[in-house]
Amino acid sequence: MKYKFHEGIVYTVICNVHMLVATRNVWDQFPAVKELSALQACFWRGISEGMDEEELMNAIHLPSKMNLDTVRQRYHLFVNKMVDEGYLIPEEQSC
Amino acid sequence: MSRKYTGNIGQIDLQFQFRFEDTSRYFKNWLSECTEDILNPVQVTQQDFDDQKRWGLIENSYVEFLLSAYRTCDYLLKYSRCIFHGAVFLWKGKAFIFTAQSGVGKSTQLFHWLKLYGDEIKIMNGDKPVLYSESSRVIVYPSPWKGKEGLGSDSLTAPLGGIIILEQGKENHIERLIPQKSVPQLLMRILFTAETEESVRNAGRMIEAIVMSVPVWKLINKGDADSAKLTHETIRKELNL
Repeated sequence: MKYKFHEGIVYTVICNVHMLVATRNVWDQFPAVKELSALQACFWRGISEGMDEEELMNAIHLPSKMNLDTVRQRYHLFVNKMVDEGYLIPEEQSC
Repeated sequence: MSRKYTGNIGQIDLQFQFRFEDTSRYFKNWLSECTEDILNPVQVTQQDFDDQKRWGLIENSYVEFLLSAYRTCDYLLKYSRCIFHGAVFLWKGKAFIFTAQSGVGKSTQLFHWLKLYGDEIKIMNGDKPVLYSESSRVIVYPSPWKGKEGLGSDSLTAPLGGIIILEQGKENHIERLIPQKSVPQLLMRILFTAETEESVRNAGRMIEAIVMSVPVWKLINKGDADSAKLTHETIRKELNL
């Protein structure tokens, strides 16, 4: 499954803080700033490069004390949450 | 009456165009009338007015004056400057900013400092100073937006010494924040419209420059004089003032 980003969301990194910043036209739908963990930021960047789950799992540098199964679980949790909150749109839904 | 004006804010020349005839009076001595045609003036949009209606603000000259700060900030961000929401005072040659959401107690802290340490400090701006990121330091400039009480000077400029983020609490406690802890809060203290990705990235660069060059503290406080004394002593010791 591949995803598209909701328009008006800017991914930015400031002093190693990964954030999704909502531009003005989507303030009604999203908080002004949403922080991502370093792992979530990896997921976001992989999705932005058009990677699906398997491509991402093959490309990701495993964090210490995490195995691939754990990372995959975190990926599913992240993607589901991002879809629920509207940041990600599954490509099969977008026209 | 012409509604076109020029001014210099944060050492940047700007041109303004207002919808209302008497908006310029709120800028006091900051603006000069302009009779020539101006390209790309700083101008409050209809969407700016509409967005404020949810807070009960109507379209008038005073609201246009307030909203001009956001459009001015968008313009200044291109020049490594921003308008920052905070009350700033000069102490020992440096500027210190109290910042928080409206109503959390910036003015209260300022008044405590004036009462306790009035012979040590000068109020620079009670609401929205201009910050300029120059090399490895940040300079605080005056601005026309000085808050309801009109506190501050139109001429005082100083290097930024630190920022104190305020939160209300049942006990007084102050802690120094690492940059990563302060960035998300400080980003939202910049008065930009966030209309474009470019403005978001420019604001991000400003915040990065700020947190990498000055200390940031978080003061959880009861709003009493003791909280001001705590802040005074903490900064004095940590910065050897």
